[in-house]
Amino acid sequence: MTSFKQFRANFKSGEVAHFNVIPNRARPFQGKTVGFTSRFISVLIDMALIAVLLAGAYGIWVALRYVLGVFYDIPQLSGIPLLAVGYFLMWAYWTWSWATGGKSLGNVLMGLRVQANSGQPLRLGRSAARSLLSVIFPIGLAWAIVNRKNHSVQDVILRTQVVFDWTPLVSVEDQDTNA
Amino acid sequence: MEEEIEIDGSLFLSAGSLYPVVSGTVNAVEGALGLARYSTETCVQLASQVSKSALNAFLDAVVPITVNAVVSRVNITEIVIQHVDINAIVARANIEPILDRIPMAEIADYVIEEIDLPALVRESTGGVADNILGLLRFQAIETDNFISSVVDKVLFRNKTQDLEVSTKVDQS
Repeated sequence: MTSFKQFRANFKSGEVAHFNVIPNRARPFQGKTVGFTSRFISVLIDMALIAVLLAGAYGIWVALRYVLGVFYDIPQLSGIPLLAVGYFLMWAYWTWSWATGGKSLGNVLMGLRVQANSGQPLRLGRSAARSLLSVIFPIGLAWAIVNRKNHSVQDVILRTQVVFDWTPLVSVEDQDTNA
Repeated sequence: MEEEIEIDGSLFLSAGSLYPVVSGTVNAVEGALGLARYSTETCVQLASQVSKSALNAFLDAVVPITVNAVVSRVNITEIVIQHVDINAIVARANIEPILDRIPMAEIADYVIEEIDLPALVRESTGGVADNILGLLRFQAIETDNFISSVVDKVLFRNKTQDLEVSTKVDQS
């Protein structure tokens, strides 16, 4: 039981977060680098998101063709262009996510954040490069299994890291400034 | 009747002839009295002013020392506790300015932190999704711990303490 005086001191020094929503057992490892499994699941989630987006776009396309009366068949999908679009979407989505807060959907759900080794958020350039490397060389993530700092190949090349960050997307501080 | 009138007249006449003398005397006496009274008042005032300022200077010098000497030998707190109804004073105190000085938001934060309100909220209403998400996250972390321990053994290297992520519940 900390006294109120103690709490005020801790609060002023930033030791205690404003309305800490992170579970007690998750607090000790916030900010530490993340291992392979969490990141792999995060990637799977992101890929599923892109797959859903692609399927949705395909559905809309088919429906539009039908409604406009141009074609009544269901268009066959050729693999290569679809794959290319998927890769591009994945690259664009990761670039955008990591440059704006370091969290893709998979990152948010798994409680991860991508940042530079210095702790700074990624700028657009490095985010795009990391995204590109991740898209064309996904197996590079496996290096995180062996690397002692949990760095993937992409992380090693671009000096980035993935850390635990369980804070919700909209923090209480943000709400304060909006109010 | 006539005599009486005469007498009255003579009396009136004599009184009339005496009037300047009497009034002059009265004026002189009044003037003297006024002068005396004025000078006396002035004297008294002067004296009282002088004595007052002298007394003030004396008291200014002496009272603090005296009071200090007295107070330092007396436990005022004890006296106040014995003789003063503190509750009555508090009851009459204007509480609003005191409340204005109290950091309510900080106290609220403190209470929230102390009773771990977020945990209570999570446990009571924190939806199933949140729990499943937490479970998934922790299971992934456990898996990573297992993988890294295996890798460490295979590569014959010391356990990397820095990466060790504990998911044991902190009971404190």
